[in-house]
Amino acid sequence: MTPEDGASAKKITPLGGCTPEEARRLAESLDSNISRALRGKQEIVELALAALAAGGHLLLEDVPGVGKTTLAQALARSLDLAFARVQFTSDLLPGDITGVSIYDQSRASFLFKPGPIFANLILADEINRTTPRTQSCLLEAMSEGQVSVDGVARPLPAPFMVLATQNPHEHAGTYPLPESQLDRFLLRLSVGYPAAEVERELLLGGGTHEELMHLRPVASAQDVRRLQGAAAGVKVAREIADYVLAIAAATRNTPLVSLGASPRGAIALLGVAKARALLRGRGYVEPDDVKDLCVPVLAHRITLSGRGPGGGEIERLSAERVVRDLVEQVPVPE
Amino acid sequence: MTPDWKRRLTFTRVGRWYTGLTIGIGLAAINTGNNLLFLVLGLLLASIAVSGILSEQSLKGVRVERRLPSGATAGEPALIGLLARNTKPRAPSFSLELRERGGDVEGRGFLVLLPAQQAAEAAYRFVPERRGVHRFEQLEVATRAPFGLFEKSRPLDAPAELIVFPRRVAPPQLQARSSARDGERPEDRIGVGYEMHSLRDHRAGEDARTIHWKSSARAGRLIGVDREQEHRRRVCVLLDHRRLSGAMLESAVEKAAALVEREMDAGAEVSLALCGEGLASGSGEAHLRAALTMLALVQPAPRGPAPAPESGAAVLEASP
Amino acid sequence: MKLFAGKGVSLLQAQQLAGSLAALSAFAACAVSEELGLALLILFPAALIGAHYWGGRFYEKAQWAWTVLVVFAFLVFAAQVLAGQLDIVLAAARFALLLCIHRLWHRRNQRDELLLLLLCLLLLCAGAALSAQLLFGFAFLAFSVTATWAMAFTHLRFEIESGRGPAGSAALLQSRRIATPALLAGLGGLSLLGLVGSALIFFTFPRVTIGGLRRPSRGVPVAGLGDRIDLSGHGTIADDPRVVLRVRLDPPPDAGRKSLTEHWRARALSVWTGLGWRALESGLAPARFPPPPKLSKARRQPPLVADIEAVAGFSEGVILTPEGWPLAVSFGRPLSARGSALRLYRDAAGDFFYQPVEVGDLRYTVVAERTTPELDLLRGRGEKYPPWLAADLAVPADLDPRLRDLSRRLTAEKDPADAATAVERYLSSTLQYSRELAGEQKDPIAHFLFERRKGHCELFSSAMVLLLRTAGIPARNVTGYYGGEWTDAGYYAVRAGDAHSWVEVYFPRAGWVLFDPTPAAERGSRQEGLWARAVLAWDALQQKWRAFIVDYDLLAQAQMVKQIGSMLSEAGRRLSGKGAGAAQLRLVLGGLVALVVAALLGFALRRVRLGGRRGAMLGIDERRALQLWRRARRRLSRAGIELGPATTPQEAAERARVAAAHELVAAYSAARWGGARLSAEQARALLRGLDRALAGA
Repeated sequence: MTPEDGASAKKITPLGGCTPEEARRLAESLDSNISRALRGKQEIVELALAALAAGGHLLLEDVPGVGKTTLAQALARSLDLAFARVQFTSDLLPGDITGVSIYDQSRASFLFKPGPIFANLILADEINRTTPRTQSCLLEAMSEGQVSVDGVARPLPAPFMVLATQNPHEHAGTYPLPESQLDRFLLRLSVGYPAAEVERELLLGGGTHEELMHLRPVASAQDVRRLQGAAAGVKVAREIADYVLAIAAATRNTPLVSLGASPRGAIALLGVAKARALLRGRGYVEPDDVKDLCVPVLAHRITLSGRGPGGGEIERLSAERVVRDLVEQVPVPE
Repeated sequence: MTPDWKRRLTFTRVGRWYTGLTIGIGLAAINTGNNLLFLVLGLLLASIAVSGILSEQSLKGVRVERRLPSGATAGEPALIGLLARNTKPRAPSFSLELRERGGDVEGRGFLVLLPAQQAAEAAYRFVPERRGVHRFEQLEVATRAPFGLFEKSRPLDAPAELIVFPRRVAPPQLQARSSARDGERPEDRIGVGYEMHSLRDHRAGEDARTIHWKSSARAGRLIGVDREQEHRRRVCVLLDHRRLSGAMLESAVEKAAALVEREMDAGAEVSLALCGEGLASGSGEAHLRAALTMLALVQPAPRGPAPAPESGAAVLEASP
Repeated sequence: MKLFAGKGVSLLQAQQLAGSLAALSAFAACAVSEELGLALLILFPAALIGAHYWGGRFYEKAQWAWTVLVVFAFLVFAAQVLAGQLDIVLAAARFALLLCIHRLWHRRNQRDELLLLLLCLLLLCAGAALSAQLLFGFAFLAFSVTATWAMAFTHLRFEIESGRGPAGSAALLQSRRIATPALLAGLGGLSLLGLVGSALIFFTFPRVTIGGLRRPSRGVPVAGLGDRIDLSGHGTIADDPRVVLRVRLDPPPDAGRKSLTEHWRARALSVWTGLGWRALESGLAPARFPPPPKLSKARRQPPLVADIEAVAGFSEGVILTPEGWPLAVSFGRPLSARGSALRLYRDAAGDFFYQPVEVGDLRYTVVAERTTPELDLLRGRGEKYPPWLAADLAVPADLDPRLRDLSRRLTAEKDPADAATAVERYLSSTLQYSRELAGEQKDPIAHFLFERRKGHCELFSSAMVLLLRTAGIPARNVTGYYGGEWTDAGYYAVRAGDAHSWVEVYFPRAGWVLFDPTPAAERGSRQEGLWARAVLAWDALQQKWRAFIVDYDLLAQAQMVKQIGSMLSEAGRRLSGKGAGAAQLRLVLGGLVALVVAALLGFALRRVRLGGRRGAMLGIDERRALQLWRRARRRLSRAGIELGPATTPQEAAERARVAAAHELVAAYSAARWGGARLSAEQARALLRGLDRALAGA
């Protein structure tokens, strides 16, 4: 190893982080572990891991039954993280998420009963079915990393990640998330139907539930924290940063989009690109990392001209197409 | 478009002294023919030349961008960022002053050092006095490096506009139909909400939270509660400013803005009705901004017809 | 020094230190004139150091005391100037020094610092007016560096203070990361740039003088060439390396001669005192130059022109002449520094004097007939001597009989010319040279000749004179300097230690002829060693300083312009001429121009190819990676794979569907974005692999 190599290695592995090679091995073992329960969805698993490494939250937008819950549970089990699932319904109240202080008569004092939000990994199922008040309670916790109950701020555990799902087909009785709150999600993914052969296998080989129950953790919360530390230190060349900015600018300069990606969107894009580069065993970002991630990172952050924010599936698909087309017009740095 | 090479050169106070002294020493040197005085004169003149070269080097390749805040309100300080980037491959830039030029706003920021290939941000605070559009025209990057004798500046075109929202004032004591709970208005039917609608027997399998414990204790059996369906309140803020101008207009606009903000904070869906224009009802941050922007841009003596409030909404009319 | 100690200094410290150093340099510029007076010489450095440590505590305290002090000083100086006791420039310098001390103790805000620098500049100007020493040049250099630091740091400090407010600037001013050695060196480079510019302006600024009021320079006289020699002394003759004469000769001596063998004649001493010599007292008369006698059969050579610069203090009133028959003496500057005309005188012994005598360097030219007298022509001139030679024939009554015997033995039956030669040869071959003085002797010559048999040059020459006089031949002792050492500033330097003594013998119709009985190897001083060399180098430097800086004038300027012009025209002539070298020169020059053009073109092309300025900033591996990818792209396009500007390398590799493409892209990305190494061989191998794979597919 030349001294220079040593210097660059030092640069991309900040204190408490892990080397790109360790990250790649970690990602591979997680991936193979999770795919036992969720077959044929390697890309989604990788993106979910990238969101985790980047310290962000995930919005899964899909029809029921494609494995959103399986993904979340498999991730939680593989990582040995505290997992909580909240089914968002129209009668869910903020206190149901954050927890409540109840009066304990025997001690004559109030006792805080923490809600499900105090887990590491939270599956917020069908988030658009609850009232905006409850939604914003969750989203505020997501962005602030703490919740205030009865005037006491309580920090959330680290790592902390929310996997929210919403069903794009249901309109009646739903409260679509406002665009400013969609911004809080690092990635929006759709799991999609499994490929035909995987589906056949699922039919013949029995459910994956069994597998899910038998998943053993392959990483710890500590590993996740190290991964997050290392992802922040991934090297980004100036040209790559310019590329990200050019893509963000492209979403603002097109008549197809009425509200382009915010500065937070550009930061998110670079953050996820860094995390994915790390998971792929690289200490640096290359243009592909950015380009591949534009759709999941940016599509939910833009508002198409002439439409309301964050609507149904048609909305989502056309936003994704617009982003994809825009990215194809931005020259890749070489 | 301001060309790249354009520079302005002014003396600083020290520079005027220095130049005067240089001329004095020059005269003394010529008068006496003392070569050592010529030497001193040479040093002084050369320093001027070096200072010119260096200040040019400092200014060259520096790009400045203005970063406007997403919103500014009259009477409240807004932080405006001036992002300078040194695009020179190697040479750093020293003591740069970044300042506004030609626009409605004055402000300046100072950077001691801007290394090559790096960017740094200087910010200045600015308190807008009035609502409406504030135009920015040029940014000027100036330096007095290395000796503070001259100030060389380079104007850069950076046109921008900042819309300043009306001054924040206490909202008038106007109330639309008030409700018990903030923002949500019970409707007279059973649904999900917070207001009690009616009591009935608890049915097995129902959520335990619907049990009305007080009544159950009294009745000796489980009594459930039905709650009223809640719906968002709709409010229309109306501003008829056809006969208003000057301070009266400002006051009316400020009150209207305060009403919009109050109602939105209270959770209502707010629409705006002005002369000849209006904003459909909505809620959320983006909607608030749209409404405030519209109010920020209100001009005196409009030509449009009288404002038409949205049907089905409680009307709040703002007046001076 | 504290500046470069590990932790470095804060900006504030650096700024204050630079200001103090600038003040010190300015003070030094004044101090080298040696006119400031001892009190100020001690007071200023003490005040400077004191201000550095305790200055802050006294800020704005005892203001009235300072005011009283300054006003008092002003009044005193003004009175002295009005009374004619004090030169006005000197008074101004002293007053400026006092003000500078005051300011050093009162430094807080921008105004104080700038005033301090202004005062420093005034001090420097006063120094320039006070002295023309080389030391001033060094002080000037020091000032240009320290003042650059001071100006830049002062600017930086107050720019920070005004730009960020007191609270925001405190941290920055205390930061030790700003005034780094690198910044100091950079600013030093800046001052170097300033000095180069200063030199440029200095040499090109038209020297049109209006007033021409030069301040006369004053110096301290040093013991000159006396009219007396005392042979009784103790100790050793020490070599004094100080330079007394600077000589330029035309025609120059044989090429490559590092040292001269020239007698620089000052005075003839005829009267023997028993213990030494003294000059015969005679009046001065305006100098006359009789025609030279013919003493050589050879054809007359062109006369020697010696351009002599006598250093202040060493040759007060005496003109030194080279060997030969002086034909003319002219002064470099016809007026003395005080404006009176210089006049040349000669006494009966033929020594030259000038008046008025003043301390200061004197430059004059002596033209002399160069003939080595031939023995043949000196013989047979008889022994009839004119009566005015009585003093040169006088022999003391109590002469040692051994001396008489020796004289008889050496000169008996000989022609005076042969006798003189014989005595000269006897002394130089049988007696030894010694720098050790014999101490007080009753008869130093007899002691030298018969007992100690060794001694220094004065004993040799005295012995010869007495031996010849005893034989009835008129002779006298002559003092002056011998030799001259070449310096690289273009002149021969004669040092104080080169003082020498020799003999002149009178021949009828031929005049005085030079004889030197001291062994040739021992004449003058043989000064070697570090100190002697350093003195010479310093003198040379001082002369260059004077020649190029202090005495630079319109004439020199015109000469320089002419020189540059002739250089250019010479180059043009050689280029266009038909001379032997012209064709070759043209070829070489053409080649050089072509090379430069090619280099410029290559540079421009490279910039364009690498995407303008961006390419210039890439490291070698990044650049190589970029080139690799561009070549691979071309190959992929040729293979029919669709690539657009928005196609990423990975996408391109996937479209190519060959493993080699993935491999290449991985190597490219690692080098381009990850800072990994990519050697030229690796790049070539990857391209070859891609070529093969594409051909196979």
